[in-house]
Amino acid sequence: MENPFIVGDRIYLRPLDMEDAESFVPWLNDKEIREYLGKTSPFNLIKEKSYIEGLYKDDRSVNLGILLKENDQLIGAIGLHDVSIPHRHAELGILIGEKSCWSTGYGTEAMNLMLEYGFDQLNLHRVYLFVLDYNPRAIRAYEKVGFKREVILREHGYKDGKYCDDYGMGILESEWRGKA
Amino acid sequence: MKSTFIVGDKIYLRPLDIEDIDPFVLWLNDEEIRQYLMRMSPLNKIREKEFMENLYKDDRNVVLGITLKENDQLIGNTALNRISIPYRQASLGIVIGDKACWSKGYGTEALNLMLGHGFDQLNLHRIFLTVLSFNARAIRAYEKVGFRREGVFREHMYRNGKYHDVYYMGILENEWRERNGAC
Repeated sequence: MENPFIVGDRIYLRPLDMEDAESFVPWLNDKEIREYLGKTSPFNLIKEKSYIEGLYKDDRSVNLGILLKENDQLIGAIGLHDVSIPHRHAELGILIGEKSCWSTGYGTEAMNLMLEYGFDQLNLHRVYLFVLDYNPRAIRAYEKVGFKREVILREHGYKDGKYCDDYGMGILESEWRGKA
Repeated sequence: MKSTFIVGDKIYLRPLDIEDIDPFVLWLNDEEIRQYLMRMSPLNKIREKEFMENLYKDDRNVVLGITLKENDQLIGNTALNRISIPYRQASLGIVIGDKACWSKGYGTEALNLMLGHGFDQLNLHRIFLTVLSFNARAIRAYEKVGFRREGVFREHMYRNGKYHDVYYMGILENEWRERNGAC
């Protein structure tokens, strides 16, 4: 493992660095992936490098690469964003860019590691996220780790010529601890 | 009337300018007002001037002052923020800073003017907002102009010693047109 920050069973999370930029650019431009992310703008290396350049400057967000323990392969990233001091909440985002790693349980493991970090280390009260209704695989994974659907933003997204709903999901510290 | 942008019955909406800084600094630091706002850091004239200086540089945000027609008094502001092109949506914000103007229907009128602007001029498909669950007066006004509650972020914000729910509310273009007799 290189520079591990949080170590799990089959994966570990580590800080992202400049040399990771090249892996993310093709992922973020891929039609299927960017539709799941709700992004419509093109992405280039300049933009990704400036994003990585800005990481870890403050403690308002924690974004980490997801790597396989067996071969140190970078397969995606996971983050807690907009960490708020008074409200003790944060927004979770996850991307598994390596499509051969979809439906393998790596994403679920990464989320469990990140939620544990959020609740046990950052002392959060609540973690929330948004997911588009055409991403049932992600919704199942979020439900599996304990997120509950709280909000339906009607016709909030748009794909392939029609509007779709955006779900807001959340998990509270008490629910996480009840489960653990 | 000074410069106007959208004219209503009892109020009009107009662009904000540097000379409007002082009332906003006063209002946004007020404890009673700021407990209802999403942001609650201290605000000074430097920060507010910076905010004003950046207004109207692009078309992603429309922020307008709410002004009484009878005496040109500025009583607050309302905004459509983060206007998204592919999704044709925006989030709405409003503050009535002059407390003597609370519960007079000015806020409701401002909301109606802003929704009309969003749907009829900016061609939006959807307008949404978030509101703290204890802000009953605002929730009533949002419902009155046609916003529907779309869900609850449980215990999302901390105010006055405890966690509070935050409601998401939204209104779609067709709902707006049904209420306002589209021709």
